[in-house]
Amino acid sequence: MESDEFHMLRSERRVVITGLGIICPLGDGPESYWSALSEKRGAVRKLAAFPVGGLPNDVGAEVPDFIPKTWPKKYSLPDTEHRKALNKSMKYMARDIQLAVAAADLAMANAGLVDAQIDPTRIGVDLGAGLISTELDELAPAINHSSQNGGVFDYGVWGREGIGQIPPYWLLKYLPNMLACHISILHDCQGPSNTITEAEAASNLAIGEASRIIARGRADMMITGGADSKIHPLSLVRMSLLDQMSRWKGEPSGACRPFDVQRDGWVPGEGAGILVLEERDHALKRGATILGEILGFGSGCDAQPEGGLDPEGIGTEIALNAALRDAGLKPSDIGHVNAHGAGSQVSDLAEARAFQRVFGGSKVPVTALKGYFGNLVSGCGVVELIASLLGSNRGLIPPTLNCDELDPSCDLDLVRGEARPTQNPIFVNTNLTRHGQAAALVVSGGSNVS
Amino acid sequence: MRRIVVTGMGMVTPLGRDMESTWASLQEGRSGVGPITLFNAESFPTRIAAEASRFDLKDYVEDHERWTEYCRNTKFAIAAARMAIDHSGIQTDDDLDRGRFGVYLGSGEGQQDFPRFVDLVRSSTREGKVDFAAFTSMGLERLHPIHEAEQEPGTPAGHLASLFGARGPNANCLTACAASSQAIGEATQLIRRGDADVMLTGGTHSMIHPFGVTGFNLLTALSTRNDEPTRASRPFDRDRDGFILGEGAGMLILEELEHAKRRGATIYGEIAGYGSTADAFRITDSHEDGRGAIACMKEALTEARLNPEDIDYINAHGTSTSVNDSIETLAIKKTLGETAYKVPISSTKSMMGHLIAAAGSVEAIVCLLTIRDGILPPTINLDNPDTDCDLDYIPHEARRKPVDVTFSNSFGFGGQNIALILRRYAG
Repeated sequence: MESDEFHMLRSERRVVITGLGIICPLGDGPESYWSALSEKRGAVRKLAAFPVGGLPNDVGAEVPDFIPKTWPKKYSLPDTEHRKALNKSMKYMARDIQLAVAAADLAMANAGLVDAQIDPTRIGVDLGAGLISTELDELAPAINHSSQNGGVFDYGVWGREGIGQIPPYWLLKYLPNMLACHISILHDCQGPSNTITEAEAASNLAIGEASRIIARGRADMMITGGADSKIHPLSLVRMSLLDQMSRWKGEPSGACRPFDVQRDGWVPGEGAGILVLEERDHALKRGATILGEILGFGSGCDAQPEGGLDPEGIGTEIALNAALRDAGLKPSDIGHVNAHGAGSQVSDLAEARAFQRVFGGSKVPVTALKGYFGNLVSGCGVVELIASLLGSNRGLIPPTLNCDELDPSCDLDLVRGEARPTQNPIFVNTNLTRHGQAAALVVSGGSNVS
Repeated sequence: MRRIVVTGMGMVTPLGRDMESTWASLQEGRSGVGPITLFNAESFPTRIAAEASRFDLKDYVEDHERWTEYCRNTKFAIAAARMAIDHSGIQTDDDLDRGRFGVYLGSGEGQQDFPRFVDLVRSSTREGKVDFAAFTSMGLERLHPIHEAEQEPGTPAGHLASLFGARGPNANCLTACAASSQAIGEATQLIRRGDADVMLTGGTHSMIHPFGVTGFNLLTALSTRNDEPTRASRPFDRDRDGFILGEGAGMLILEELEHAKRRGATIYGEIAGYGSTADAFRITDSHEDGRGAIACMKEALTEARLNPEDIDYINAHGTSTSVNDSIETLAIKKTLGETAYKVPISSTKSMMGHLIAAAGSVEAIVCLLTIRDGILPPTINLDNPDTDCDLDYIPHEARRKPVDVTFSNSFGFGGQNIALILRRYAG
């Protein structure tokens, strides 16, 4: 790039984090979330939501007590009209949507925006979301009604009589853009709206894109992050069919083991993380508490000719280098890396090799948090980012769980045991899909934002 | 500021196996709508759609057998992307820094494996409820790994990156019917900001499957003019009764201007403006004053530094639903003022149906072809314009007119609005 263009980019508007909302298996607020991380209390257990059979494993990380009847009282803004609108819309909301909507309410309150007068055309939404699995019992009556002739499905019966047995708004309940749409309606966000559906890379991509939208002046505030729930029978079957699920036979809490020699796969999780991003002067003018700053964003892809992951981690390397370049930082400026750390053999190795090439001799401390809460897929990027942000603002790097014996081929300075003190609030958060799509963010904790 | 031009285009649509055959059909005003053949829809409220009926991946790529089990979205995407890259003349091995060549798609979710899924639900139902333990254990044996994996909407973006060696930025957005227009807009921004020099962008989608038709029928969004398929999609007409599902893919090669010039590429147009807004109104309805649609069109005009008088053609979202066509007309009038009555507008959905996530990318390419050839495709079936649809919708027959600046509108469920301005590249 020409140097004058580079100068133009550096004169862009700065983007800070002024609010966060989290609902994940470890907690439903920054304090409970951080306590669990610092006390190394994981949330992977035998699945409680429903019984499973025949799968390689029956463990997962669930958000406890999150049910439509009660969560609005706990999490929604204390505004009667808002809560009325929320309860009215609940029938259109799959669990993924509800998690996002609840976390968005928490984030707006956290950002001090409950009664704030903000220009609705200058606030937008950009979220990561996934394929939402339909609730089986919504379809079962229609399917069974149409399969009465010796168990053979009859399209004629389905068309004539089955369709009418399905709730009228069934389709809208499962569209991935509805997380963002409900939030835009409930908080009157008329600015840009996008939904990134790229599995584990989704919420980092959304946060990066949202920060760019503010940087280029198209909005002053963005609600961003993501949500997902893989605690669903069909999602578990899919994970198993792709041979991704952990077969760990020990204690459930040990099932997801990032960078450990015995790692053997994923654990399903669920949750939501929402950030309020804001142009820095806009935030300062309204006296907002600044929790951090988005410094850089980069994305890349393994693009292996036969598909799948590159064991050398080329896509992650490209994403990391792009994010560092975007931030105008050197590898040695980074305090720690929050890795994807899926807990699968190839993925962790690929990441470790990418880190070695990017950070070389500086041997940056690395942490990976899926041992606590499994894979939140479209939500993992933001939930993991929030952990590092909370840590940075406490001078600590949250520790990796379940890496009892670091794989010697993953030559990393992995933060294990206790949370590690750090003076450097700048970190990199990176995630990776099974197609090798990678997205990285460079973020600074609040104390460095001046 | 870095300028972004289009140097390659490819599409698969109900009207043709490629861009030129689709374009010829559009100029002839031919409808691609007919009875649904992809599954037995004989008793569904809607039994018609615009299928890409002659599509076969083996006509496009040599290793088509590798993709046999993959979903229709992926196959359309591969074919359209192959054609777009060939059209651009880019030699992916020689002309590209792969780390600066990315993919940003607006692809829809892959279709549920309906026969296996309904059989599984039936087999695992106990006393009227699905037994989840039975469902999971039987599911593992009965569902097909590729069919399941292909439902994730981000997969085509991964496949295309692999096929063409694109190691740069990679994303997929899914904002219902606005998705692939949004992908073009955001891919443009990535190049503008310097993250990439070349982006493969567009979208792919088919919802012509039992759950797709079921879902839209439940929302009463589809036309039920089953006896007159070719007359069923009638945007802006008094007797319109819903949209017609289409399917296919549109892919574009976006390139930074200097990069395109250096390799002597043919330039088909410039992405001059992009607007993205939310209605923030209701999940089920557009805002009655067209609030979000107006704001996004204005945003695109501002970014392009153009005035209403500069617009030569609008490719409308024009779904043929009662609400969309009225509100879109209102929004065009509010955005362009008196000029609105002078700008020719058409809905190519009248011929190819609604490609949902892929619609915007195909329609953006149509805009670029109007610039190339000076021919505006018609809105067919517009026999009796609705009283509140009183603009120039190019009824029935294509029209010749030199075109420099075009608008492409895309609006999605939930209040998603995207407008793109594509203009002639004039140095």
